[in-house]
Amino acid sequence: MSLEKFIKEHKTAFDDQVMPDDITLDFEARLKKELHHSNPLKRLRVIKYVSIAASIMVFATVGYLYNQNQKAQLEIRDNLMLALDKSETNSERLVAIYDIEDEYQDKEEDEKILNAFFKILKENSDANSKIAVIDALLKFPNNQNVRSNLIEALGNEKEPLVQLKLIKSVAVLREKRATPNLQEIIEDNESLPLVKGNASALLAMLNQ
Amino acid sequence: MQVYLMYKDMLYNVSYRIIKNTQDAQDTVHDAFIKAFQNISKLESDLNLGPWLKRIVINCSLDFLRQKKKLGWLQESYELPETEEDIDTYEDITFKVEEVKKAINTLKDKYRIIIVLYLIEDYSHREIAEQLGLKESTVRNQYVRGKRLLKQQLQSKLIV
Repeated sequence: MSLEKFIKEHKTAFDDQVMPDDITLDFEARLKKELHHSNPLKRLRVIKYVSIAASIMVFATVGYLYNQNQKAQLEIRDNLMLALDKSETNSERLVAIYDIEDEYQDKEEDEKILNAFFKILKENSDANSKIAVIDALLKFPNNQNVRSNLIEALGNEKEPLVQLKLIKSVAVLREKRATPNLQEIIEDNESLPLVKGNASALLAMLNQ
Repeated sequence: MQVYLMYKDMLYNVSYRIIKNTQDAQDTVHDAFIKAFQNISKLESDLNLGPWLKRIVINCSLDFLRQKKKLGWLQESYELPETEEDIDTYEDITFKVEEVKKAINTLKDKYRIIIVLYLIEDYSHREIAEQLGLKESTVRNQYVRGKRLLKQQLQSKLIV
């Protein structure tokens, strides 16, 4: 059963917390007070002030972040790299990859980060980490180093899920240099039929 | 008070899943009931009372986190293009509710809240996007990521 289906089917089992009985009296008292003496104008004012305060806070934060200098940026980068290096479990690594992807969503690629990602692709990492790394790398389609490393990974990868992801990536990049690697996958007896099928389809597309 | 007694536990569970603090969740449930009673005239049919109360408590819980500045990640959530596919890698795992609950609670807020709203509270990706002020594509991606992390956690438990 898929995780999604399991959670949806066992939804009621997730409701196992109970409100303590003693706070019912508190609520009863509060309800009487609120419903009989509620002051909408005052509440509105409070909400208004909270909203203004929240807005100021947001603007101040955005302004602060916007003015971060180069040193601070490098510090962020180093902290992200540290989290990635120190990740001891697959879950921690995946979280670190996602955090880096988010951080560099609207920024130029960073050489150190890219190299760390290439390393994950080359190492015997878990499939989910590799798939996340490929997604992150695809944010930089014009970077030649990224393109070359994805092609190289396609030649070395043996995990079917990652192979499929790489084939789709190469299709997005329309990389003709991937032709020999695709041919190799098609001829490899160990390749799954689904992987071979995708590789053949892409090869046909690239040869058009 | 009858309505309160009938729905308090259900709303408490909803709020606790979002806020993850017993005291704050209790206060939020009370806030939600007060808000609901003040706006009871807006309820179109008694049959919708449960879902209507649930919506109010979800709004109140998210508002609470906003006020406590615990939804800072919303500002950091960029509009992600829909490139991340949902490749299901662990269909053969047998799950247990307790373990799944624990795994959900270890997720970062940006993944946990979206997973909870989508899978347990039956919100659509669009509704979550509207509620959190995010693009629908971003919600979809965060959801896929959250699910991958969740599976990763559950799978590592099996290995250990």
